[in-house]
Amino acid sequence: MRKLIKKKLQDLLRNTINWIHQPAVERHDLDRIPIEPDLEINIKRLQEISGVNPDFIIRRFEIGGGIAEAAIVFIEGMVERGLLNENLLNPLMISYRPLKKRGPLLDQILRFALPMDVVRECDNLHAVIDHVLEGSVVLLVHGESRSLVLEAAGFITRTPEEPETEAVIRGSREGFTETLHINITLLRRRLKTPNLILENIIIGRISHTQVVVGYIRGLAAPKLVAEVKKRLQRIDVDGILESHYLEEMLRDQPLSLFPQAVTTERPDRVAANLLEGRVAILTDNTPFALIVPGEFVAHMQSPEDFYHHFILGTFIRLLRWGAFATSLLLPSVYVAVTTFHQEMIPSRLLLNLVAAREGVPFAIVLEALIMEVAFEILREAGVRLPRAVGQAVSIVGALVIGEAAVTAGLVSPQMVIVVAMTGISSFLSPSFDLAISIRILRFPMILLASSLGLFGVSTGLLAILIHLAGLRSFGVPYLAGLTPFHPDDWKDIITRAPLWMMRRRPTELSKRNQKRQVSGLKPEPPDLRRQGGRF
Amino acid sequence: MREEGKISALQAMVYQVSIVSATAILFTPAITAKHAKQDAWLSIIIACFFGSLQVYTAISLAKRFPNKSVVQYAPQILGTLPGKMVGFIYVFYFFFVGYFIQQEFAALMCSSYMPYTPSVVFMLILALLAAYAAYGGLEVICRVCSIVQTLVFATLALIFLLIIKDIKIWRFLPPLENGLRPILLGAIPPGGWFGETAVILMLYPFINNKEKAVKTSLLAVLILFITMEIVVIGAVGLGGPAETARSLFPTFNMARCIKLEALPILERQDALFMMVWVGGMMIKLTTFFFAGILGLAQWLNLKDYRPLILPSMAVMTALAVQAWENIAELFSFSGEVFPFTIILVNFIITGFLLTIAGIRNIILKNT
Repeated sequence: MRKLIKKKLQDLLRNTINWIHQPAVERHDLDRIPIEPDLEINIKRLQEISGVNPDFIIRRFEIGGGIAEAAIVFIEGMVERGLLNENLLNPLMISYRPLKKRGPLLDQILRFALPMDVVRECDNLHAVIDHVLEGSVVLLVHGESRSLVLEAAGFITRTPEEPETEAVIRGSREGFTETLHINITLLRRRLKTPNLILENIIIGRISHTQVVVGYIRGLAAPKLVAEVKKRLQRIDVDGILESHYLEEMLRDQPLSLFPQAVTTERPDRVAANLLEGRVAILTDNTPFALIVPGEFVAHMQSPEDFYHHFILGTFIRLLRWGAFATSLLLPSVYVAVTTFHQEMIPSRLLLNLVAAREGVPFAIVLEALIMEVAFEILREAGVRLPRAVGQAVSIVGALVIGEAAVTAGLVSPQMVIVVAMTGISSFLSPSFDLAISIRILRFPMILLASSLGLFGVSTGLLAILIHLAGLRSFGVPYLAGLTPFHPDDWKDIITRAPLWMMRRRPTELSKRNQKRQVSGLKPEPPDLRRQGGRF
Repeated sequence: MREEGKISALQAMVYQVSIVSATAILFTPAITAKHAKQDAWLSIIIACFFGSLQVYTAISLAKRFPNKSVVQYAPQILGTLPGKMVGFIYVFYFFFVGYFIQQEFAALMCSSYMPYTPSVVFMLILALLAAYAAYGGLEVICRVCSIVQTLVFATLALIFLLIIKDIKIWRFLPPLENGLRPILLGAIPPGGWFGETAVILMLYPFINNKEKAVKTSLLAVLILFITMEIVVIGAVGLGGPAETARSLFPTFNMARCIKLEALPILERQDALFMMVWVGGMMIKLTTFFFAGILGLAQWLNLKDYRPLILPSMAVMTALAVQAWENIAELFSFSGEVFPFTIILVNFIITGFLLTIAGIRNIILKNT
């Protein structure tokens, strides 16, 4: 009796945990399994591999009323059902053409029974599984040691929307989506040249993520492209879920706080950067593309600078540099000046300052740190909270941080202004990654300022400068343009020169093909004398 | 993909300018005005010629050995033992000026901005920054130099523009009141500082367009000449020679003297000038320190200088702490002893090496 119960229990266990106990299917195992002419064996093997997965569907049928046994393999939800039924099952099962019994059956099917555009062949189980997992339909026919792969991927995708992290006033409102082929289309539509090369690399042992390296042949330095590919191929991890996985593995200096690749959701930004001779890395399942080399000034340029009048573009650039300095330095300079160098503040302002700070119990540095941390908390909360609650939080945040804290005598109103200015300034950065590094660097700067005054601020700045001067992004010096100094690049760094003046590409990137356009493009009024206007 | 240590002649020029400018800006007016009084600006002209002579001597020597630094070829010129001794003098000179700079810097910070902070704090911070830059190598140092130097000159130009309306011509009168002798005396310290551009002896092997090095070196002297003239004219024209000679840091006083009715916010902003000047001092220390450890590594026949950075930094800071008792001693030293020591190394020893190399070369040619 006891034996019986034990056996039953064991059976039960074996049945439920059966699939877990099987060893994982490895690529090299599958590579060795060919497709047998016997359909039954193939189906059995596929079932073994796929396990109990309910979405892994093997549909068996007969071709053309008994010509041959066949099966299609696909994953439910990854293929377009209508396409599958109309263009595959219908012509093979119902309105079939007369297939000859002699001659290779698969070729006949391919030539006149399958109205589908992209059809490939494969001859081992590994390829079958790979294609099925990518959303293709695989047709197995009895008696054939090959199979047909029909591209019918049709999963739900997001349509291109305006990117939320990089909104613009003027310019394209399309942003990348999570689907790689849509992203590639968005890019192709902007650069209609056969020289736009997109190379495919599969990374991730388990995730099999498709990564595309894009560049313009003749513009991107071959050394750079080779280096990018080399670094990508070196990556051997189980999964790539977002492009930051790649960025972290591609860096020249992994420990640096500064971003070494430009991250963007905007196809026009990628296109503009490709035209400068950079390399783009598009990753499947994320709307964020990487652009390398991502040196410092590349993070300070936004595509929108070129969509407005160049004077406005220049103004915005200058504003952006100012905001960059403000977001890094304002709190620390405020702390330093009020703690160490009160003589720098005009007397009347100083009096106001002292009066406002009279009831505040904390030292200025503590006040600054508290407010900065509070601001960071609010910012994070604003990102994570559900939309519906978000508004409440921002109101409460504004009240708590602004009004109430001042009225309660916890902070001085000046500190609120400083922190608010700092926070707002950091949003002017066109690169979120650069803004993050500045956000973090602000805290050591405050501490330095509070202990050593402006000397401390200077020390911190010098340390950052030395760090940046030693940094490289894919062999390009991080401060390229500023130092090593390229005067020709300056018109696109501090200012935004008129388009007809931008005759050359950035020096460090495009050593081979520098010329961007012909000279003498400056528009002029038509010849007045010929029109008779002057006489 | 990282190429180590090749710089252009222009970058070498920035290096040469950086190695002189920070302290020269600060101390030239007081030290020169002490002897030359209202003719200090004439002293700078004489010093400039002397400086050009020194840097030309150095570069003539460097050109004979395009792929080696002075520490490496001194034994070839003089024989192993004397050569090594001369090499050590060069190495020690760099460290000596290094800790002199640390002490100068700490003295200024303590006396002008933070009287309660022990001076060793400033020496240490400056030393750590210089060590960090030295880890980056020659290229990184040159890049940092070019940015900081641009800022230094921009700030100086701004200050000069703001005080130019207060400069009185009569403060420079009468010229040549006491003859030429005080002018020559006043020219010695700035002449010594100009001579620091002889650091090209260490940089020459790393320059990739060597044919331009003569021109850029002389250009470096010219840039420094203009800078020093600006600070001397500014300081003397603003306060008169007597006050300039009396004050410790006339250039800082210059920044303090800015008076603007229209924009009072620009007054008393000398702390901002200090911020920039800290950068100037940092790169000055870095340039000397880097030349020093590079020379030391070559003197010891090491492949890499990086392991030497922290130990030599520690020794240098220790020397700086114990070297001068107080700021008065430091000042009389920097006016009366220091210029002669650096002229000894930069001009006399270099000239000696050049002479011997010339003679031996001729002998070699004859046989």
